[in-house]
Amino acid sequence: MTCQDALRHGLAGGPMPAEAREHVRACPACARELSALRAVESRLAGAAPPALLPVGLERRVLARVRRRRRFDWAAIPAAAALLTASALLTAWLLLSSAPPSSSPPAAWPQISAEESALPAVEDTTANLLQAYDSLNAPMGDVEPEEIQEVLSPTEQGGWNG
Amino acid sequence: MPEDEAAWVEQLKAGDEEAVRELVRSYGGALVRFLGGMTGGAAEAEDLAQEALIRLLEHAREFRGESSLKTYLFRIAHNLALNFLASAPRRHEVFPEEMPDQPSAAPAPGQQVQASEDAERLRSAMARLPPQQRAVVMLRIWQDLSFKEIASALSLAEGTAKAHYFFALRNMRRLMEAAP
Repeated sequence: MTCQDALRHGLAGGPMPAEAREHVRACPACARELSALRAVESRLAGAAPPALLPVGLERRVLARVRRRRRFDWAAIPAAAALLTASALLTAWLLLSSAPPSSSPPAAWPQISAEESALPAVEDTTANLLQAYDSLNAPMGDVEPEEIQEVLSPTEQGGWNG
Repeated sequence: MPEDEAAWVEQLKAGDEEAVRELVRSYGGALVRFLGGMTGGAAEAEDLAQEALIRLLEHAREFRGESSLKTYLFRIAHNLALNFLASAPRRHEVFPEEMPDQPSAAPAPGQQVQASEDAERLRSAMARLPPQQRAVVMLRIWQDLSFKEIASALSLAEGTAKAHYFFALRNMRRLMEAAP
C-alpha cells in the first residue's frame, strides 16, 4: 500500500482498513500528513457558512411553477387552434393554385409544315463528305502568304512590329 | 429512497404546492451555500438555486428514485454551476472576498457568523481549488454527503470522488501554509 492510498483511506470516513492503519502506524510522514489533513477537515467544518434560505426564494419558485402550469393549460387549445388554421390555409392554397380540370387544352399550338420538316438525309450526308475531304486536303495546296493573312497582327509581330 | 421521500416525490410530481414549499425550505439554503462556493457570487447563487429547484420540479416525472432527492438536486445545481463557470471563464477562480459570508437573507438572531481570521484563510484556500475539488469538499463537509452520494451528484466514480477530496485537502493545507 502506498502512502497516498493509506491517506485516502484515512480520509474516507468510517473505519480504516487494517492494512492502511498499519501503514500509517509504521510511516511517521503519513501519520503527520493524515493528522494535518484531518485538522483542515475539522476547521473547514467549523467554518461552514449558515445555510440560510434567501428571502423570497419560496415565493419565486411557486410563482414560476404556477405560471408554467397556467401556460401549459393555455398552450393546448392555442396549439390546436394554430394547427387547424394552418391546415385549412394549406388546403385552401393547394386548391386555389391547382388547374380547374385535368383534360388537355381545347386547342394545341399549331406548328407549320416547314417548321416540323426534318432536313433531308441526302443533304446532311453530302455536307459530312465535303467536310471530310477538306480535312484530308494536302497542305501543299495552301500558299504561305495565305497563312500570313489569317494570323492576327499580334501574332505577326505586334502592332508596332 | 425512504418511503416518506417516495411519497414526497409523488406529491411533487402531482404539483402539490405544499410539497414544493417543503422542498424549497429543506434545500434552498443549502443550495445557495453550495452555489455561492462554486460561483463566488451571492446573486448568482440565488438565481442558480432557484433554477435548480425549478428544473427539479419540471423533471420530477423523470425522477426514478435511483438516488435521493437531495443528491438529484445537487447534481442539477452542480451542472448549472459548471455551465455558469464555462460561460464566464474569468470567474473560474472564485475570489475569497466575493464569496458570500451568508445568503442575502437577514440572519436570524444568534446565527451571525464571526468572520474569523481562520475562516478567511479557509475561504481563501477553498476559492483557489479547481471547481471539481471545491464541489467535493463542500458536499462532503458542508452537506455531509457520503462519497457514494457525491459520486452520484457529480457523475463520478466513487474512487475519483475520494481522490478529489484527498487532493483538495492537501491543496488547501499547502495554500493555508503559504498564506501570509
